[in-house]
Amino acid sequence: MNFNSIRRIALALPFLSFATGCSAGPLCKSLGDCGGDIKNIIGQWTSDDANQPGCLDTPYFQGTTLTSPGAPSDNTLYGRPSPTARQTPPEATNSAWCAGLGVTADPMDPLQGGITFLFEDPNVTQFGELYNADGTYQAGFTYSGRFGQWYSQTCITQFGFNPYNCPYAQNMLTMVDTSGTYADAACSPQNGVCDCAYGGGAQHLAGDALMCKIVELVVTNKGGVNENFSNFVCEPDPSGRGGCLCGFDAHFATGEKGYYTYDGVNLITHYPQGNALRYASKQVVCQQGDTLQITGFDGSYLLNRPPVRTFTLHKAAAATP
Amino acid sequence: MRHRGLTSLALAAIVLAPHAAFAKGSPDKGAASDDEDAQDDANLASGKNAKNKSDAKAAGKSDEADASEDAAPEAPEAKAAPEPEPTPAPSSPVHSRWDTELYGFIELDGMHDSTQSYADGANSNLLARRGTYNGDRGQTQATVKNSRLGFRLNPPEWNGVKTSGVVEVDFFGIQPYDATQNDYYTLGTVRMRHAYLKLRAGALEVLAGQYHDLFGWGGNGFYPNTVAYLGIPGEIYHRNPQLRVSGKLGDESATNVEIAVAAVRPAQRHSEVPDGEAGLRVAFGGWKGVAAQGAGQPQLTPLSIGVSGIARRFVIPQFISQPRASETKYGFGAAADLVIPVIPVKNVEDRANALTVTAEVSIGTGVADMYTGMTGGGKFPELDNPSNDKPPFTYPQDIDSGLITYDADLNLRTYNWNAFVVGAQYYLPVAKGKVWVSGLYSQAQSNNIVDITPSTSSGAIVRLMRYFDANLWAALAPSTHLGLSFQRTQQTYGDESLPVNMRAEIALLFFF
Repeated sequence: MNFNSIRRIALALPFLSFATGCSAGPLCKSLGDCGGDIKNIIGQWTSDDANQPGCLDTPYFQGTTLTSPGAPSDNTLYGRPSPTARQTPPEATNSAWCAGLGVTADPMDPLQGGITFLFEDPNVTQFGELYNADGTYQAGFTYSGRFGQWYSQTCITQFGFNPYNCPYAQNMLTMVDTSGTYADAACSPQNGVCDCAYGGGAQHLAGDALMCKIVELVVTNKGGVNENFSNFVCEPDPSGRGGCLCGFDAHFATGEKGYYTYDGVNLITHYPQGNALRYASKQVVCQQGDTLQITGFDGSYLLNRPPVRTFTLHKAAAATP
Repeated sequence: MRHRGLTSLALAAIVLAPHAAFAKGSPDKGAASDDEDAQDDANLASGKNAKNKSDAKAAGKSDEADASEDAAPEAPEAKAAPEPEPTPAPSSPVHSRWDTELYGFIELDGMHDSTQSYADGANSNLLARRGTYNGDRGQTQATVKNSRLGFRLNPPEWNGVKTSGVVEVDFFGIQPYDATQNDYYTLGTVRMRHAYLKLRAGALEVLAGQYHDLFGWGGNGFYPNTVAYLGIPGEIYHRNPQLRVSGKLGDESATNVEIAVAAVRPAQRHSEVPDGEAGLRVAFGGWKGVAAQGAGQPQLTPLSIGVSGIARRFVIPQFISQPRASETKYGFGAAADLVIPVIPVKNVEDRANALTVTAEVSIGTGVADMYTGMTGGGKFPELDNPSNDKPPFTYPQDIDSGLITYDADLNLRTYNWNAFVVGAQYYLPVAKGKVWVSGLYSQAQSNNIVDITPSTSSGAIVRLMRYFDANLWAALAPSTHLGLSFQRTQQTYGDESLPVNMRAEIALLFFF
């Protein structure tokens, strides 16, 4: 092979290189798209969570909050003043360290501004769709899971709460406790930390354990938990970095209803109705007997709700007339 | 005292003066020497030992030229001025005052990516995550913005003092926010790469202006050969305004040593103190091979090893919306660079079977900006807003993101990074080595970015980057090169997500 041959090959290769484009593709592969008769699709379909939990693409999922559950958003610039012309906009930031938990010095109103539970990628533990013969549909998701949130010692004490002052800590502990467990708490300095004896002096809470217990009681008893977020428990962080590691259960449902159309082949388009503004969504279906496979059209999320991409549903038994 | 001695003293005074002015105890600072233009980006473009060439030209200059420099700066106009008086003077050709070399290259790049993570320059930018629209779809781009234009000016030697100046630009300048895609690719904005002067007297050299940072010994033959734009992930590749002083011992054809220190633009202007960089480089002129830096032309390169360091100061406002107090913190870095002509050759025109390896190892804290475009997603946290005030208070950040931040206990913490790059280039026994292959592997890792980022933002930071590429090159003509490349980048996010981008790229370069 002489150099001229190499040169010709080299000149041809650039064009080949453009044809070699490859993509990793979505994490959730599309399911079957065999479609099915609309008569067979009509009915109630639910996920079999144990065997077919569905597939969630997990993109960047900013913290989910009480006020906007399930919505991924980059809120780090939200609400900031718009920069004056030709002034550099503020730098983007990461989340706040102490986001969502402000414990004040006031035992009567210790939870400043409520609490925001931050967590990522909740599992969809239930999913169901109901297609009616009159062209209407209903769909519902249930997200749930147990999540953890670490609060540094600095964050916990950032807004006035001071667990190192024994009289104050004793007052706080007894005031935020609604069970009576700590009604007889007596706190005094011991070995450089505040030690609270309770239960007739048989039990003790001291140092970080005392701090974390008060935080737990503040959140649990002062309006921090509700039907969506429960079982809030705090302990001293075992890694030794200080602060409290708190766990909580998240459980919330969301759904929509509206009208649908079926293209007769394998594509269902949903037109949601209601107060909440939502956009029409498409899903590809494959119905075989009592199994309905659904996947977002062209890689989209099911019902435009990240990160739900694919599910295998099973037909619910017909209700007895 | 001989004039050369006076000049050396003057150069030393230039260097010392700014040090005296920096009143608040600065970290190590200094200047550095860059020895040969032959090793810098200019030669990356031209592939010639331009320094020697320019010196030769300079030596041919007459004494009158020296005199004119002394007499009046306007002298060149007099040189160009004489024209017949009675007739209207035609427009005069522009003449350079000094011996001037035009260099650079025209480059067309075409690239296809498997994700829509970044524009033409990949560098160390973050990848779009799988499961997102941008992470699951590809893109194709074409650009000539990496084309480069430079001027090197070489006045004749004057009383033992050699001077030179370089201005070099490409077309990666910042574009306005409202630039369209069409504008972005077709209206390349001029960007200054280098603008520096050099004064050399004997073994002492001063470089003043914008040039590669001394940290990493940029422009001294240590860059790997790749079609990808430098710096690739984990590679120290940065330019800065600086005042560098260097001394060189030994002849270039034999073992020679260069030691340099530099005072460099501070990464944070409010720190008040310039960054300090220093380095030591040893080259073995008797052991040379062929190496191409970046997408440049192959050139004879000696076995070399360089070590370098950087130190800098941060003065960061307290973490509230209206700070009055500040806290001081320091950043440091160290790097070792190596180029080994494993199979040496004596003639760049006959480089068949030449094999050269390049390597770099670096570690540092608070110096992520030395790696092109690398922050790892590290940012300052948002100010706490427990009362949900709207608009929320903002922190008056006065430093680029990715260098330093506040941790959960409001302690200032610098981002740690360690990295290495290993590259090899082999010149095939075809047409005297005019066809060659190269490849490299690199990695950059932070051992604390996860710890100092709020957990709810762990999906927005990267703690590990891995990159490799494979390249095939052909010199279609002495002036024209073709490069084909496959590049794979993988990043590990703070939440362990593992996005990957694969890029196929072609490059056609015309050198002048």
